[in-house]
Amino acid sequence: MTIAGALVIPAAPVQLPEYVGLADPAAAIRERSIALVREALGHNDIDRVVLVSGHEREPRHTKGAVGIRVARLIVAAAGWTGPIEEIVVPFDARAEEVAQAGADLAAGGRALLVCAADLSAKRTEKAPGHLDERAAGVDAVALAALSAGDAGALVALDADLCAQVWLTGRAALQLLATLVPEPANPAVLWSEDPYGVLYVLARWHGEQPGLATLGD
Amino acid sequence: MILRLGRHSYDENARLIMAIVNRTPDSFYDKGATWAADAAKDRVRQVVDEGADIVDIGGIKAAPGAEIDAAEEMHRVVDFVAWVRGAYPEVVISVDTWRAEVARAVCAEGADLINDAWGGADPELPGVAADFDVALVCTHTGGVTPRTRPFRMEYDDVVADIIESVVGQAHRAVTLGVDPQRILIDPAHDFGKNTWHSLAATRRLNDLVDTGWPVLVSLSNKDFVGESLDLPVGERLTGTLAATAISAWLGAHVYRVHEVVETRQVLDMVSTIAGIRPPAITTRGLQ
Repeated sequence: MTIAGALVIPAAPVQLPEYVGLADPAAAIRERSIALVREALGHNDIDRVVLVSGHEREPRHTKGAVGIRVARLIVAAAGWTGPIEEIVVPFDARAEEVAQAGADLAAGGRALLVCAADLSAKRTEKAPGHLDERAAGVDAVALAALSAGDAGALVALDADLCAQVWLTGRAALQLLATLVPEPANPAVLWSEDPYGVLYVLARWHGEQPGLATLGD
Repeated sequence: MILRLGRHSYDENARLIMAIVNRTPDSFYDKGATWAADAAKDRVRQVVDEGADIVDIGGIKAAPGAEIDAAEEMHRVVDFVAWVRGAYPEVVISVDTWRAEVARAVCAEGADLINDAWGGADPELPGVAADFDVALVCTHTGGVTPRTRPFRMEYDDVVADIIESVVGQAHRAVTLGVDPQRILIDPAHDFGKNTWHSLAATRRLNDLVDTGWPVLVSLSNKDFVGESLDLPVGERLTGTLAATAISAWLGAHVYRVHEVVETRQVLDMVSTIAGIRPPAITTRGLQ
């Protein structure tokens, strides 16, 4: 399988129609993700989209991983009607389990990876997890890794520390790093923490030649 | 259904008010107004005068913040419970704590009810209620750690999850020796729940009432009211009272509140409409 490119988008359930009230506070966040996916799909001969996200190891419900549901929504809104593959890793998955999840990918074809993953949720006193002074530091490391295309730095994120600062996207980002170990033209296109949770929009090109047009 | 709290017994038509008395410097609504002992005593005098049946004394705010250990929590509430017991022998004293050692200390000073607002976080807590023959509130939190906010909690059926959890806790408490007539269940609005979950818990409160256990609701000025009406803390009384009226109509028995007078009026009005309380006076058209 050739990975033509990989995108990181916010995974927050506030984007899902089932949770929207009279106001739609995450509309702009959702629209940014849709635009990015649409752009990536338009520049390549993608024949498959692979959605990646984390999930509770023992969920209390059968709705499926929220990140996958968000990603499905975004990809559909971007106009994709082709095949979709989904990879879900437990939030607390360790390196071996993450690598195994990547090994399960179907062979052949050119895929666009869409990874729904958020950074920490303890950035402010009003954040879901309240303020943890360590959160900003871990987020900075993850953001720098995404910006530099440093797959090794993502893989090296400390699982325990990430769990403590509610960095729920850690395992999914490590899976992305495993699948795209040497990305080209990495970029963080946007990041904000409107609710004390750090959302990221990032793009990595796959390492295969001839993809320089992807979203540039 | 008979509910026994302290020396009192209540039937299924009783609508009891549990007034919140915070011994905290930082709770979300009063922001430390009753942190000082004298202010807290004034608060107790006021709510008892206003007709509260129960005072619920808490030493730790529910939201995240500075860690308060058991010793500090006891420092905040134990002597205060003793004072309330002495000053108001008739009032039912509840203490909002998840810690068994704190519960044991306040029960020794005369507390009648342990409000386990974090849903069984300390498995030793029901044993304390049994030892002192006091009442226990069993709450639903979705399994979250005490003093954490809900984060992306999802349920297939939140009401079913609530019932399974609180009825399970109630049965365990009975097994441990708690008097079945001294157990209440609380869906715990906002705890382990987003606004949609708390609205469903309100809408389907009759499912909880149908379990046969007395139901306590803690609705007062909470975020699910604020998000429903897009109003900040301080402007949620009307929404709170609307939820109170619906809960009363659906059969909830105990109301944990900041505003006693307004709540009592709503509960009396609902009970009157329901035909379980006569109007206070009737002369109109009857002269």
